[in-house]
This record gives sequence, structure tokens and C-alpha cells, in this order.
Amino acid sequence: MDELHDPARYSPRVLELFDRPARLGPPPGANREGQAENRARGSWLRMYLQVEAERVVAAGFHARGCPHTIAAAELACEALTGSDASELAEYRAEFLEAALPLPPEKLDVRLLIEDAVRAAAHGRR
Amino acid sequence: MKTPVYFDYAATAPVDPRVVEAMLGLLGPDGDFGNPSAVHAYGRKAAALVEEAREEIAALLGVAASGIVFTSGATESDNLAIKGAARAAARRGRHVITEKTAHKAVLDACRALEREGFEVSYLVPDRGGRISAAQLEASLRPDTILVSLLHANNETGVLQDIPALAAAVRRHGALFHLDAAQSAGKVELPLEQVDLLALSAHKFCGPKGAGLLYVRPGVRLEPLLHGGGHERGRRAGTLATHQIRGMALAFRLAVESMAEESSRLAGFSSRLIEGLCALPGVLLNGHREARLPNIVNVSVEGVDGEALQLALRDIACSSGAACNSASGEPSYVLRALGRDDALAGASLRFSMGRWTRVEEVDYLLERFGSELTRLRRIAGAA
Repeated sequence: MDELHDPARYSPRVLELFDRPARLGPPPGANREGQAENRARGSWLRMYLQVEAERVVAAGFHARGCPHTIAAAELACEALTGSDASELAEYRAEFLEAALPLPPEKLDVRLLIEDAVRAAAHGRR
Repeated sequence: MKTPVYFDYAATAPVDPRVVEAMLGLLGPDGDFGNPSAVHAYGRKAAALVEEAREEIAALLGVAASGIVFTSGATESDNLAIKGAARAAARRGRHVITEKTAHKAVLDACRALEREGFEVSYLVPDRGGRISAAQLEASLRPDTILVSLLHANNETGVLQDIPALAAAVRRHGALFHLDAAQSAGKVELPLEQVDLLALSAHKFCGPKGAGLLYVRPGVRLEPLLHGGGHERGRRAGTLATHQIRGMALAFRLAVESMAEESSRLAGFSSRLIEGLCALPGVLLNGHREARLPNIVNVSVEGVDGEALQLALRDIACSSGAACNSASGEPSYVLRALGRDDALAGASLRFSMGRWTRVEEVDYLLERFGSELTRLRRIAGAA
């Protein structure tokens, strides 16, 4: 049935991540939390991180947003796990554009992800 | 069950196989393929078939056959009615009234008139989607020449109170045009109360590319198309015999089964409304009673409309999400009914028709419930 949807709009990767997000909610040891929103789209994203010894050991999220937002959040959580926590405050997620990919009209999804992760860099839980 | 399950009959319906058969018989070298304008035997046979179809449709509508103008569909019919009638009556006045929730064919035709110097008033319906006679009355002016409304709204299925509205229009001597694209074949059409009425064959299991405009005798129209004086000078272009015959048969089949079919579909609608609105945060859009039997439109709190539609991609339906509109904005119809952008965007229209089965309605209810729960879990709700 997926072929009925414009493949340029929803890649197989987006569909897979949207259908089965595995990192919902705060990991059991989450100690950081940050939220960002895109009022124009009515979407928001809350990121939860577990940081131990300056490394992100687990990440999770809650979101209300379009399929790309949910897929991007899931992918960002996967990529964040094992990353250097000192880089969170300047977090950049350019990789999402190619990895999902994000269509041109959805490039703001990347900003939502970056804002939520940066907020979580300092947000104690 | 075939998936995606089809719940988009308000967009279009399959052509009834009986109609397909009738149309095919007209197309080939052994069929009645002649040009109805030609004087030879092929042409005369085709012309007779077209006129027979005109008589049949007119009889079903209860009007004179001379009032039927064949077109390519309701969009063309609306354009011919609105632009054609306004231009023909421009010397009497240049004010037109329509509704904010009209179909784009009506709104864009009105915008075209505005560019020609006409003034258009856009009535805002109440939260149920209905326009009151008092509200219309207050907008009617001595220079109002035309009122153009939808019989049933294409997004919500809400039906207008035509007798009351028509009386107000008549008192002011303006013309009354009704777009009946959604209601034709579903409910009785108020032909005796309007001057112009548009419909499309593909909404009642006829072919796409066929429609008509009913024009009350005596109503003048400036044609939009020139080139041969067909349709008594009101619409030029070779008449598509197979499309017209297909539409006539499809309309007869729809009218003959209307009472039974409308009651069956109304039962499905009630089942859907009851099941969907029992879920937390699901709101019915439009008036609960004054509605077509086959359209149910709901908004959902707390989820994104595009996500909901993709999650339910095994259900073929329409969405009010911004990503589905040419303007990039959520449904203008639902916003005019007072829904905020989030609720207008997180809306789905389920529309049913001849081949909809109760198992499909139950499948939709089950899938809607489980995907709504999943999206709410993603948003952190219990």
C-alpha cells in the first residue's frame, strides 16, 4: 500500500521509523530533559537523555508532529547514544537531511531536533 | 478485504459496471460513435441518444429537458452558472453572495468576477456549517444579482436549509445557484427552488468528465466557451455521447436506489460517528443531523493531521492537513466553522458509497482507535 504515497514525501526509512519508534519516553536513568516547539506547525518535541561520565548512554523522546518529526526524533536518539555530552549544547543534526531524507519543505524539522537536544544539554531532570 | 479500504467516495466513486458496459457499447466502430451535430445517420443516431439522455435526466430531476446543459463536470457547471449568470445580469447589478465554505470551483469563479469589478460577499456559516435565512437576508442588496451556495458541503457533508434560503433570495429577485455535486443521487434535489444547479456524474458512480448545469427557463447566461453554438448557444463543444449516456444511466441507478442506499449509508455514518466520537478528543465536524448520509468528518485533539493520515494509510480518505492543500494551510472549511488550525489540520473525512460494506466500517473504527492510541503514546499521553 505504501506505493500509493508519494515516495518523495515518505521514504522507506521515514516509514520504518515512524511506524516503529523504539525510543519512546525517558530511559530509566534519564537525567536531562529539553523541549522545543514549532508553533507554526503545531509540533513539539521533548528529548530525554541519560548522561554518564560525559557520554550520552541512552536517549528517548516524546513528540507531537508530522511523520518526519517522529522519524527524525527516533533517528536522532539512535545517533545520540554513545555521543560526547560536551557537544550537546552546540548539537547539529545535518545528517538527518540525507539520512531520512528530509524534503525541502520539512527542513525545519532539523531545527526542532537541534533545539530540543540543545535544551536538554542543560535541562536537569 | 482489499486495502487500502476506500473511504473517499466524496472525492470520486468507481463507475458502476452497468454504466461501463453501456458506455463501451457507444465507443467502437460498431457503436453509436457519430458526432451528434452531424446530419448523416451516424450523427442523427448519436444526437437521438443524447436527447434521450437529456429527457431521462430531466424527468428524474422533474424539470424541462431544455433546461439541461451538458458540461464536463460540476467545476465547469459552477463556472458557467456564476460567471455566465453574473455577466449576463451585470447591467442590473454587480453584487454576488456566496459562502466562505464553498467549494473552490465556486470561490475561484467568484474571485474571477471580483477581478472584473463585481463585488462578492462571503457568508460565514455557524459552527455547524449552516447559513441562516436571516443572515442571507441581511446580505442581500438591491444590486445583488446572484447567490451561489453548496447544497451539501464537500468536506463536512452538511446540508443547507434550501427552502428558507431560496425564499429569501426570491424575495430580492436575485438568481439562486446551487452546487449539488455532493448531494445529487444522495438526497432529493430542490430543483423547484433554484435557478441554476450544478452536478457531476462521477460522484454518483458515473464517468469523470461529465456533468450538467440545470438552467431554469428564462435565465440568461453568457457562455464561457465559444465554437459551434452547441447546447442552445450556452456551451460549445462536441457532445460526448458515451459520457452523457453514462451519466444518465448512473443518475437513474442512483435515484432508483436512493431511499434504500441512503438509509444503509446513514446507518454506517451513525456507526462511525458513534464509534469515533466515543474516543477521547475526537470531535465531529459539522451539524449532527442536517448532513448527507455518506460523509463523516472528524477532528482529533492532540495529534498531527499528517501523522494521523499516514498512520491510517490502509484507509483511503481525505485529510484537512496543511500538507494536502494547495495553499499550504489547513482546511479553510473547518477554520470557517471555528476550528483552530490544529484541529482543522488534524481532521479526516470518511466518505462512503455503493460498495462500502459494514466490515469496512468496523475495520476503520478498529484501525482508527489503535493508531490514535499509538500516536498519543508517541506524544507521551497514556
